[in-house]
Amino acid sequence: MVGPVCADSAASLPPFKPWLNRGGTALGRYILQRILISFPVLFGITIVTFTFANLAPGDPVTAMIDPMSGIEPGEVEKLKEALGINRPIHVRYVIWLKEVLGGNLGYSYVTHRPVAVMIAERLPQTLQLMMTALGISILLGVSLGIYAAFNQYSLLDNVFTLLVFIGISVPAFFFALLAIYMFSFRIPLFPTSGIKEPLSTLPPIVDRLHHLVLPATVLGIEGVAGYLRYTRSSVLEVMRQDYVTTARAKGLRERAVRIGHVLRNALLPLVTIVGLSLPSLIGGALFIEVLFSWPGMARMAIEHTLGRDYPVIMGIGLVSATMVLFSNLVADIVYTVVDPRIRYE
Amino acid sequence: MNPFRVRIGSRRSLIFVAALSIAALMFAACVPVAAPAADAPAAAEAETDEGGTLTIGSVQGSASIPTFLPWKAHSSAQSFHWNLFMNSLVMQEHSTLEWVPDLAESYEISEDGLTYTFHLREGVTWHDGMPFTANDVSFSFHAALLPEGGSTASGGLKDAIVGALDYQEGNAESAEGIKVLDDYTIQFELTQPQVTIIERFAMRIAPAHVFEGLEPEEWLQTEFATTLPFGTGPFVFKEYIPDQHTIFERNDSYFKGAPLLKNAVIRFYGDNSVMIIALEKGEINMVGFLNPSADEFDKVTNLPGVAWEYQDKFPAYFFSITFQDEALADKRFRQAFLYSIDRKEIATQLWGNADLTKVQPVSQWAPPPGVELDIEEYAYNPEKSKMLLEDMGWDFDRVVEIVWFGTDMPDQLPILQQFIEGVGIKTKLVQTDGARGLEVFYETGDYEISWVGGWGRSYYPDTTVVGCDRVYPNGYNSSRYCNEELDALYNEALATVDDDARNELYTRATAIWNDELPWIPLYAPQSLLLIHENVKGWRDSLIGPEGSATIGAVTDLEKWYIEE
Repeated sequence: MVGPVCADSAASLPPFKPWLNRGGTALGRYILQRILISFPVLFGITIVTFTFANLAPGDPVTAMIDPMSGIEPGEVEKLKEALGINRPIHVRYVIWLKEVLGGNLGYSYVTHRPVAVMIAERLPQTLQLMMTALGISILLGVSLGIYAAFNQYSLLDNVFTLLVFIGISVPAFFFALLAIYMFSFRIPLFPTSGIKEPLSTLPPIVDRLHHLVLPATVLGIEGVAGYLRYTRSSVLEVMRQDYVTTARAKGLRERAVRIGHVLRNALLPLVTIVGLSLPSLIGGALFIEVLFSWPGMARMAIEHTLGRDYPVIMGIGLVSATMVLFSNLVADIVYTVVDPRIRYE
Repeated sequence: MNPFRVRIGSRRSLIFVAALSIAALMFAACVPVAAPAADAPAAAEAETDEGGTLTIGSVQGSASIPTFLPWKAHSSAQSFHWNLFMNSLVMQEHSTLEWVPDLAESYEISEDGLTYTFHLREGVTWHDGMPFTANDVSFSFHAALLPEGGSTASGGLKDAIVGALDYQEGNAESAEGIKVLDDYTIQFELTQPQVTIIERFAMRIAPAHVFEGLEPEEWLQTEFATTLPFGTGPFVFKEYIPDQHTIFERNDSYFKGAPLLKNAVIRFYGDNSVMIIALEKGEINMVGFLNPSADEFDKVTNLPGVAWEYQDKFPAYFFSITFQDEALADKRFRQAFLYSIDRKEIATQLWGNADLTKVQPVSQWAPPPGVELDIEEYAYNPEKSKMLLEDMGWDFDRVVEIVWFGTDMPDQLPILQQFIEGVGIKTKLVQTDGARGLEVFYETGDYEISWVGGWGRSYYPDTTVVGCDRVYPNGYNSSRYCNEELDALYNEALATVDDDARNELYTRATAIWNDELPWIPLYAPQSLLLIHENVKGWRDSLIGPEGSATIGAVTDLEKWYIEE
């Protein structure tokens, strides 16, 4: 388990030289351990996803069939058999797992295309949106948080606090609609939605950025509140530490104290927060991708969940779970590397 | 929601396919129907050289376009794609509702109604440059017989065409009744006269050479099926990005003359409100099948520079009341039930508009000319309702269960319940989960009253939902209604080629339906078509004789243009 073990809280951080402080084997063993733990977790997630997806009423065949188009009831059974969905759920799960272990995510019941290809088409769009949003969240949240902490109870600090509460309480979809109305329609700076203009004459990268600004900002703003609050309280807490007083007493300039002592210590935990924020980013991307017609994984997930397209639902579940587990892993590892006070067992 | 996906609760999704747009058959036997002159240049060609780009908004997602194979019809989004780049043997002229030749130059029907001969246009080429021939037509209709190739269209063809069933079951190399007489003539032989078959000939034709050497199972995975199809139509398919857009480019060598528009684009939106903003802003210039709530109705019909039309829409809503209970089977109860509901008020409140006539048995889009809908409207009349109940000796202490299927109660159900209880019929709403829905509704019929969240009916109705021998699995007669006279009328009508004689039969059938109410019709909500005023030339392609629009099968997109 990892957790901050502050053996010597009075000490400021030593110079950042992980290669001096860490035995490679210990870190390597830790990483291996964490990766191995991830597999049972992933396995558990697939069982839960599979069960819930299949427990939902309806199935892909009845979702597709139109009695008026002339399909006969007998053919419904045939179709179910062809798709294999009339077998017991545990049998289907084992078949699915076997295929996945062999590197095959299966074919979509709806589009008949390989699920892996469909996800590969969508994943880059989702990552692009999420990473940009994350960047915006961190940049705005951390810098405003630092400002607020250093100017505690100032007018701007109070304004930020108010904005944060508004940010936390306004639902993402409402905020998205408002943004589209304001910055696409009233002040037509950006397109309403999409990733590119159908017949654009702009260079592709410019066109893409033009489309990315609004959705990424809206998604990013949702995260600003969290980062701002976290940074503010973390900085305030560190500012009260004895070593900060010591640093000041030594006669260091305030600027050096703040940057070298306060911020270095206060911002370290952010590494974990960034890693842990990924699930909520994926969740947030759901609304954003739908409202901004962003053809990413979340949009596809909704579309295909409605059609009970089990292979696609499972594929997306697997990829999302892997992403979350991986980012947590990276957060943990990075944390141990950057903060020598952390011990891993 | 997919406007053509109609639902009974959440269980049965009855998809009414726009591609099979249904309308009047207005020709007499053996009268060749001439095609519009192929070389007639569109009038405004000269002054609209650039033509502009028509951009259509759609909220249907990628799952509603499972394939571009024309024999797997699923949604109106698919249909609209096909309209832009494909053609069919015959198409429906919207202003007159007549079936006119499209890829055919003319066609004739034998006097006994058993043989359809299509003379195809010569010199038509596929977008890849290969010539279009009767072989492509033959291939497409054979493909439509094979569910393993993705077909959902086989039901209407396999019993209708001679030898089709043998071919489907693998007992024959080809269907005996589909005959390629020469490169430009194809003949279909029917097992019995059937007027509805003309709707089937409106299926889009696919290029046979793309599928050469492939097994039917592989068709769905071809580039043609998934990402880059092509056809003979006015526009060439350029790019498809799921949930994003589809881009089409003018086909300069289109056989009816090059389109005036330079490009056509379909843009997909995830949300109605955003799409409306995009329309108002001018990012898109047309939106179909919009279903605004009564609150939004005023806004969307008053957008500056945007014209609107009502558009026919499925589903229609019904109640199904079982005939297995003596009191409920009494037609006075059924009539009283319908009189108790102020359908007009509910529909107006919920959707701003709804067409009550569209739920009558003959008509779904418009009555065939000659069928007189001289029927009882069952306008809201609680007094008459109470009188009928007393007259039949209804037990006012009895509580009847109204079952509905699914997870979320439909908004209209509690409102309907209030009206029904207003005349003294005690009711209880009972939810049944989707998995049991099919069983209760179709297989056992073990219910009293069931709310049916949607039903699309054929323009030429048959016995599917009312026939004595059409109880599941032979059909969808969930109420177990049986009237042999009605069955005989429908069956005779289907086999009657003469328009007047057939319409007479339908008129009689409608009267029985209207009086006995095997189903309790409620309303068919109408949706809106919004289109920018700078788009020209669309009216004739969209507006039917009743004045409402449909974009199920647009007939002459090549005449549309954008006025700068």
